[in-house]
Amino acid sequence: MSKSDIKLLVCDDSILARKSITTMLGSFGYENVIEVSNGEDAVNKYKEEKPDIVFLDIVMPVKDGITATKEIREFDRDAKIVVISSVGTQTHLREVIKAGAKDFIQKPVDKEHLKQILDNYL
Amino acid sequence: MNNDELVVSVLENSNYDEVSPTLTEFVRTYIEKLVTDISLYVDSSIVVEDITTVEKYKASQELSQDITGIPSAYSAIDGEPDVLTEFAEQYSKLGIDSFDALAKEALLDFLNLHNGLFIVLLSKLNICELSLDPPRQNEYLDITTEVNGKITIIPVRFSFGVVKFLLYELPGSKTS
Repeated sequence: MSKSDIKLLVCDDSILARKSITTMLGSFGYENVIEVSNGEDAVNKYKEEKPDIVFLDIVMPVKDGITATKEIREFDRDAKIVVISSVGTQTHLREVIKAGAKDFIQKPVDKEHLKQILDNYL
Repeated sequence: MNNDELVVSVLENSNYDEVSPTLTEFVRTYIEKLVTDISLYVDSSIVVEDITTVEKYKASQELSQDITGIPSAYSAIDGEPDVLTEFAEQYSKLGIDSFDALAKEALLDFLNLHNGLFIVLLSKLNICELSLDPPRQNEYLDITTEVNGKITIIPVRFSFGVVKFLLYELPGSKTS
């Protein structure tokens, strides 16, 4: 599968965070990126689009990223979800893994770490 | 000078040592982390002006975020619109030149980043496990503290003006 066929979903309530992540993904050649701003929209968009990887923030209005991770995984046990958040506390990391996320990236996002994650899961 | 040395220098040149005995460990750690994060992600040429505590605070807009758990706290960012606009631009590098929705988004993004890194630090130090609510913005800010409550105001001077950071550790939730 070429990079142009790969569909990515970025979910963060911060416009800046979405822009930053989307720009990094674009620099790696991934242009097919869907953006949403809360966990509920992420769950709905996942069901519609079945993206290859989902990048989810934790702290968001309407529905948080951990709840959204659980719901996406209930819908699709093979969903590849990577949580990107500033709140990488021990408790949150445990919750993220328990919810079914594949990996965690601490904000501010390190570009090389993001690339490594993409290489690992695509 | 590395960043740790810079933070020490900035705090030594403020009234931090003088006021720190009156502050909780939570507030002291918040201030130290704030100076670190501002110097890393916004501007390293800063001066911390006199840190004060007040019982009431009013402002023409609210840009805030709650830190939840034990202890829990209210945090906010305030200043003159043109100064906040420049802070937003220095942080985001998005060409922000007016105090609009994008500027407020950038300010809240910084507050969320800093608060997140602050609670990660507390977690790593095994002090406590906290969480955050989503950042919020409103037209007015009017805080009156509860009995024995104090709002700590941390004014940070940049070349373009002063940005005030507020932290209100909620009474009854203190660890020290």
